[in-house]
Amino acid sequence: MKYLITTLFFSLLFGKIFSQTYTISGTVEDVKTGEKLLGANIYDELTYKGTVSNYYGFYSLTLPNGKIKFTVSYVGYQSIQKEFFLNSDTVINLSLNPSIELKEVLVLDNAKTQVKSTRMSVAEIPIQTIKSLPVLMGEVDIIKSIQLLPGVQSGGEGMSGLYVRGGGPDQNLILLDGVPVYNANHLFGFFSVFNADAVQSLSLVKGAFPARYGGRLSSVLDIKMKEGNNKEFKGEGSVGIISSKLTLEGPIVNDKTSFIISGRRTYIDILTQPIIKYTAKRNGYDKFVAGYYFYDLNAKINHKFSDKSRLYLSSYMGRDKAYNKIKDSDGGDSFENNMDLHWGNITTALRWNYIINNKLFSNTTLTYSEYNFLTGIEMLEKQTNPTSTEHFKVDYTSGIDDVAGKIDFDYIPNTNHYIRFGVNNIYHTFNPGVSAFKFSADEVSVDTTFGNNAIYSNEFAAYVEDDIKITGNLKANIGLHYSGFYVKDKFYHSIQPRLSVRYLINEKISVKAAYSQMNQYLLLLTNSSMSMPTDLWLPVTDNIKPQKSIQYALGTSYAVTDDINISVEGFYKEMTNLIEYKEGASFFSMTNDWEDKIIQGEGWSYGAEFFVQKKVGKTAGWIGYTLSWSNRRFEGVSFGEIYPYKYDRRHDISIVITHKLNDNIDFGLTWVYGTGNAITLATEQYVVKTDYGYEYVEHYEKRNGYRMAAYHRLDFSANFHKQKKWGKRTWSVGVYNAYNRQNPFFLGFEEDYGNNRRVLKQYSLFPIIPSISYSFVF
Amino acid sequence: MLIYLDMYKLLVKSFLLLLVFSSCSKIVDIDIPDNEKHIDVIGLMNSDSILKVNISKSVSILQSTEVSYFNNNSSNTSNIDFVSNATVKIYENNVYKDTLSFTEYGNYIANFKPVVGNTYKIEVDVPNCEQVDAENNIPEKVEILSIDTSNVSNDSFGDDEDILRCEITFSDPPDVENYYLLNVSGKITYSWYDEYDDSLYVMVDSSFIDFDTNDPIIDQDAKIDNAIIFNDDVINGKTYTLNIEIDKYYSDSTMLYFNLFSVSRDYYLYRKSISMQKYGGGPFTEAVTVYTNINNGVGIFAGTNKSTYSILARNTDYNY
Repeated sequence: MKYLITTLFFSLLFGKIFSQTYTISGTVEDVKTGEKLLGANIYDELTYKGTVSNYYGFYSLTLPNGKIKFTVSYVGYQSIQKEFFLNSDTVINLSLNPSIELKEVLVLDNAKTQVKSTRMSVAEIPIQTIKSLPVLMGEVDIIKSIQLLPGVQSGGEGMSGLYVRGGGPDQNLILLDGVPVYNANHLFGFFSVFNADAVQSLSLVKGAFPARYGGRLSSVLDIKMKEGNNKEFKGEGSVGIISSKLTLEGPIVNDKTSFIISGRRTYIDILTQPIIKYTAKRNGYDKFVAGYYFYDLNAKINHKFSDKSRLYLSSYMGRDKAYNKIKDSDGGDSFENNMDLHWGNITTALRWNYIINNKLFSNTTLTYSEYNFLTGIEMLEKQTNPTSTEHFKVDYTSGIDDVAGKIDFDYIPNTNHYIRFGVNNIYHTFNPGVSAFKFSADEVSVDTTFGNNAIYSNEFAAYVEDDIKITGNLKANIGLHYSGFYVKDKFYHSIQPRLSVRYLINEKISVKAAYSQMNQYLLLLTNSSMSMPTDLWLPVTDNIKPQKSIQYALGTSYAVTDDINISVEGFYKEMTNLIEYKEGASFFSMTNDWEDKIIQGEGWSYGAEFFVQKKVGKTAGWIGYTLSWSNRRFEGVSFGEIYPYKYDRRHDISIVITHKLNDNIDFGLTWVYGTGNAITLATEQYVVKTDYGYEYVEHYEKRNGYRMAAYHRLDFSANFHKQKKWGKRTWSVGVYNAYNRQNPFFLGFEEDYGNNRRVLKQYSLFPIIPSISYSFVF
Repeated sequence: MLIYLDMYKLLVKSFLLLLVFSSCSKIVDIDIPDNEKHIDVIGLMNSDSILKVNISKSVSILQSTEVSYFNNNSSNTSNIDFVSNATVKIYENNVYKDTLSFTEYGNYIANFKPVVGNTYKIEVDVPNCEQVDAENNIPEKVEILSIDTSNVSNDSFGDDEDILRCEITFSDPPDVENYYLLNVSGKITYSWYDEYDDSLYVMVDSSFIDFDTNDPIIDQDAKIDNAIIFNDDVINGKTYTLNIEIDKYYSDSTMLYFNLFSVSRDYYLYRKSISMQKYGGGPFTEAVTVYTNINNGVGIFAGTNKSTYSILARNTDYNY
């Protein structure tokens, strides 16, 4: 009896109780480029049992023997259908043709795919949409496009930080081909480091985190780079006001090895060189060079050993640099001053896909990631009367290095289970700021290094998750994520359950619920609300505990038509051990005890997100509306009472529309609206006394007690394409802030001279800004 | 080393200010609640003068802040709400010592000079307000041991000017947390020859002297109104030489007084936070509250101990 029950149990679990099953497996790719397709639907139309292709295009579908109608469908591509009799394990590698006519909705269940999925709180924007949206100064920006989704805010006009469901910009795990990127910003946050021409797809997870993700509280932005066209040599590029970019991709060995290389650089410094040179000459300097630039470089090579084994090597390098060189001489005396400030990321990933058998897929990744900030000043002074030489050099560096390895498995035993499991380990090296100081003058010389010692730590995680089809209508993703963090003799660990459930009411509508716990062992010390290169990533310590969050989500997904999906989702998120600077703590200080400057507190964020999305068609886009509250409480701030988070935004609306008029012209439009950010304003002032007499200073009572005026803005762009012999060229014109609204950027009290009073002044940043750029594809 | 981070901060601030000032601004209305105002006590003790405090009340944020800078008792202080009916009591080592007398412009004076080493407590009662109080003492003096000056033709910023480089040596006491303020005052003597009446005119002007420093232990945020404030985190127990640079313009026959104040920790935090509120802030940082050690009120009650070293600086280009 016991034996029977055990057998029954195991057979039910693995679905082999009544019939013989066979497995169809293989990979799904784009026929033109060879790029692997993630998320393609592969199913038997007769039984509707199916599966989905994974991140690397691998799929495995186990069905009972018999007649099947093998169907493959994917957004933007023509479907494939094959009828045959399944009586053995089969390998079918699929090459899908992109849809030529976007008007034809050939993907019948695009909207229903979202209804069926157990995933919630996740958004995917097709990269093509991002490229046709209007942008600030003509710079296509992935992060700014993500800020247009419900539940996601920017930190301020033009900024690239992501504030997801009440969490800060340090709580997002930004992955580029699986490698975490620590500072995703150029120019203090006005532009992001991601070159859209090198990206294949991206997804943002705001809640209901599957067990495979961990390490940050609020979101996972998973960016997948293009692999490189392995059929033919292609290129694209653009020339804009701020920067230019060029991407080249192609096969090295047809169908086996391909590469992609993509670069972008700003050139304000090159353009202003002649002006600076002229001004310097007029002022009598021998040499005066100054400028600022940033660049990004993405490079990737992938090689297919066989149908089962594939290797990828990808790398990203980006840097911001501000520099200044002065040289002057007067008779025998000379003077030289070099100043160099630069900061940037380098990431490298080596990945190996191996299909172990027709149900088990593995991916092994080794990564290296580095972010550093360096300030260097060098001065050389030579005098002839009296003869002396003075040389002075200071370098200050700070940053973080990661060396990591991970192994992930996809195991698909049958259509009722999709199991993922894996382990990963990151070895972090934190450099909280070291100065090397060299001084020599004639006989005297000093050479010293001081600052904070490097901190080493190990972050380890293991996970297992299963997408289970419980009944015909009920599906759940149940997972467990275990993580451990070891630093300086202190060990923290946590077990984080993850659960999301989907109940299909009918083909068109489903209800979903999710619960997830997240832990974060890294914290970002930042002095301001802008992304600064001096922002320091540091690990938790004996005194500073890991940040934690618990999030509940409940929602519904409704496929109104075949290509329009509406989702409504409510969420509640609790965060503990959040980080804040103690009042008055100065960041640039000689003392090493940064821990003493930090306090930990709690936060709450809750609300509802409403999202209507149409992914394909002549007119596509979305409307998003978020209603939310976000609060904080810290001992010693605002009298220890609950106060609004700076980015507490009651209403947030985004309307994004792209429209294709014909093959040569398309438009993009975005309209955003947000309730004003919370701001701390003084209510009174009193005098202080200095050596010169009395002076007024401001006094604040409550933190973030006031709201700035609402923010709203309309952007518009138009793209004009023309087919040429060598390829296609596009002129893009756009306008940012089309109706020139003076959006509040900053508020401050100022003296109203002559009227014996002070007034509150609102400053705005960007007025209406037109832009133009030229791009090409060959 | 902080200077380089500061140059970087300057770079960032200039860029951001450029953005902000090239943009638009407008006046917006605001609803400020009519809160109860705070009592502001300003009292700095030193052992050379009679104990004196100044008492005023905070005012609405929308009130004009134009006040006179010229001298402490100028009648142009009409925008300050001085308190004239306060009862101010002083306790020395917890024993009642004196009740201060009101003079004018919110000033109250005692009948004694405070002594180094004693703890003084002040209690201020203003009618219809809660009592405010504070406690502090005068720290031990730290002497300036020596000052070496040299004339240089370039300062470290590469400008082509004549400056006086001064090296101030002092010895920081170990075992104690020390906080300092340094300023330079001077009696500048100008003399010029008038051809028309064939006479030599002489004018003497007393003022604070502006100076620059890129000494590594000075945080550039801590320089305000021609004084620098610093602590002994890096130099504890050592004999240290601080470098500052004075424009030679001032040293056209000038008696320079270098004042090294040993100050209490509360005063250090007060001055530092004032500097941070004035020069920090802006759209990108969180607002800074000025430090106070006055319970139930705002302001400062602290002690300072001054060591002065004087140097006669003569500009040899002018020889009268």
